[in-house]
Amino acid sequence: MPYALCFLLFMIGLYCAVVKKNMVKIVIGIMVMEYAVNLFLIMLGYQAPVQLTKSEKQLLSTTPIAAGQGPVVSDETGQTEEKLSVPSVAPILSREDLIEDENGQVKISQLFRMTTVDPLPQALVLTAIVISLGSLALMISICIRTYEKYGTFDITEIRRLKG
Amino acid sequence: MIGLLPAFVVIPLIAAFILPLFGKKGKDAATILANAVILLLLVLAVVAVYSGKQGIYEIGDWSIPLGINLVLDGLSALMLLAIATVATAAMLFSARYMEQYTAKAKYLSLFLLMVAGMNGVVLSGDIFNLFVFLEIASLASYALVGFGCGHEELEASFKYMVLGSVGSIFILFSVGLVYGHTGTLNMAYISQTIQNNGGLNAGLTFALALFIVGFGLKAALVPFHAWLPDAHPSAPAPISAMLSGILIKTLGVYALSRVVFNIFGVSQATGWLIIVLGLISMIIGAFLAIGQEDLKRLMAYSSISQIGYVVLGIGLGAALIQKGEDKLASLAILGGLFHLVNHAVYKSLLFLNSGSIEMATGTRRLEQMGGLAAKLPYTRATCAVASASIVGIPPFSGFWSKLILIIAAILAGYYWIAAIIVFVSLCTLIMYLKVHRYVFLGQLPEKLQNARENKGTMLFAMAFLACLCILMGLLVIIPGLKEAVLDPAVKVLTGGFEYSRFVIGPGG
Repeated sequence: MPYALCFLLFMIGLYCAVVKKNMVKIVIGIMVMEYAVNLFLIMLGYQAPVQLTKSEKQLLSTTPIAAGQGPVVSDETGQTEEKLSVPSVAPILSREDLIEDENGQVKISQLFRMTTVDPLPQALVLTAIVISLGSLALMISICIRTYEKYGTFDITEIRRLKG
Repeated sequence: MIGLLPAFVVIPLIAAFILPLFGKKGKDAATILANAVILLLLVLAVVAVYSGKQGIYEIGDWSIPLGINLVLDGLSALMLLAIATVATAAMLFSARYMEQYTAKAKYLSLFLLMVAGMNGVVLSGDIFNLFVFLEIASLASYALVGFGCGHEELEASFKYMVLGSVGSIFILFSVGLVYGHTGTLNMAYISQTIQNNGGLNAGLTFALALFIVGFGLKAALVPFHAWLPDAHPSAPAPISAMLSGILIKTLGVYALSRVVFNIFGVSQATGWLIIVLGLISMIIGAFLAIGQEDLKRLMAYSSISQIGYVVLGIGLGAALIQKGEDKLASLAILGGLFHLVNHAVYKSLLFLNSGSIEMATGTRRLEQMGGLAAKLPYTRATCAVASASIVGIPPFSGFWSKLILIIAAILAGYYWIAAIIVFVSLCTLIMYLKVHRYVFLGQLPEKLQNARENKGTMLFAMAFLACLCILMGLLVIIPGLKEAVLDPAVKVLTGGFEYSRFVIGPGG
């Protein structure tokens, strides 16, 4: 359903860019399309919330990035004190270190994957926003210069090129 | 060589941001610096092709698929060489030509940004990165088309920008779709996932359709061509040469063939879709070109027609691979890619000629010119070489690529395609005879008695490209050269999914 709405937004933008006669409205249409695509990318990384048990929450609250000394975790029975050998540099990315300690480590990584959104689409959207900002600035400045020359934003009156 | 791969993107990018600092006073220094950068890129590209090395470069030592990689294979090396050659000639030409405009340093900066973007597109092994570089090159080209800030330039730039942005958004949308369906952005891993799944599902097919529309918009194939005849004539002549010569091929044809052949894999349907797009572009482009009265507009329509040849060759290859006729497929792709390189050289030469003519006469209207053969002897000579090439008169480069395409079509049994190729060549002959008739022959109008040819770097740039036009035929005649330059590129496309095995390595 959200994807359908996203597609609808995209189509509204496309319609606006194709049908409208005013240059500024065309620019707005293109930007609506841009945002629809950004929304789509964000939704790709969406993760539905998961109910965690108390111990799982505790496990996760010790973030793997705050490394150095391993966080102390006790399980339900309250007897074990388990030192997690969390690597000090970029812990999530080096897979060998995660597999090393079966009990705590793998659980944390699985829990982490279960409860976090995919960060990659967010990085993509950030990049896409910067790019669209650049193209928006250029488009608007071209609109302004055109207005200075022609005295109108109506593309039906700006028609020197044809053939 | 592989360690030098980032240099193709980094060097022009750094230079592009240094150049505006020179301002008005350091205009000459800026020109020299920009020319030096482009020459360096040409040397690097020649080394890349000559050494024949292939490999991947992992940025920041992050191994793929976590990090971003640059891939140098035969096709990338060929495109790098084509970009560097056209950019060298256009840059030399601008040294003198751009004196008519203000803010030359900013122009040079945008020029280098565009080159950096194109080199990035060609080298990138990551599909989102390809989109980013594509946007860098496109944004620089939007600004360059409107560089004169006159009535027509602004109108053309706006039109180009709207259609270009729509194309870019389509491409971004399908990048998102591909990520959603395969969970990776690395082109080799996407291709591997598609192979493991045993083909395309509905979402990926939709993504492929969006890619074809997006890259088709960038390549100005006929249903999507509306921006090109406005944008290319309005730009300054060296930029027209860059846009028509190489930008539409890098952002359009290269990216399209990389996606279709190496990532998604060819199928009969996509192959025929591409063939039909190519044929329509050839015919409609040629018909519209004949009627034009504006010199550069005529050449722009002829670009659409010629890009059709390139796409036709590649599409024919795709369809033939699917039928299992690998030899014929590589012949068709060879024709397409060779025509791509040839067209890059002679069309940029034609646009430089038009710049030289416009600078001498102050007009682009064909009916206002005439009898310039005596006034502009060198422009006329180089223009004759380029026209002979584009029409396909035997010793010149265009003949060989068209011949290969025709042979491939006939051997595959598609006689009607061969007939259309010959027919469009005849139309091309008509349009360039028209150019010669109106510009160089006939009566010299009163107003143009004082027309003078520009010597120096502009002439050198045109002579350089004209020599290439004559010599390019050797690429297929001399046995060793074809194996060294063209065949690796053809193998990348005919190999298809070999690309993913090449990038990931045997263990992956």
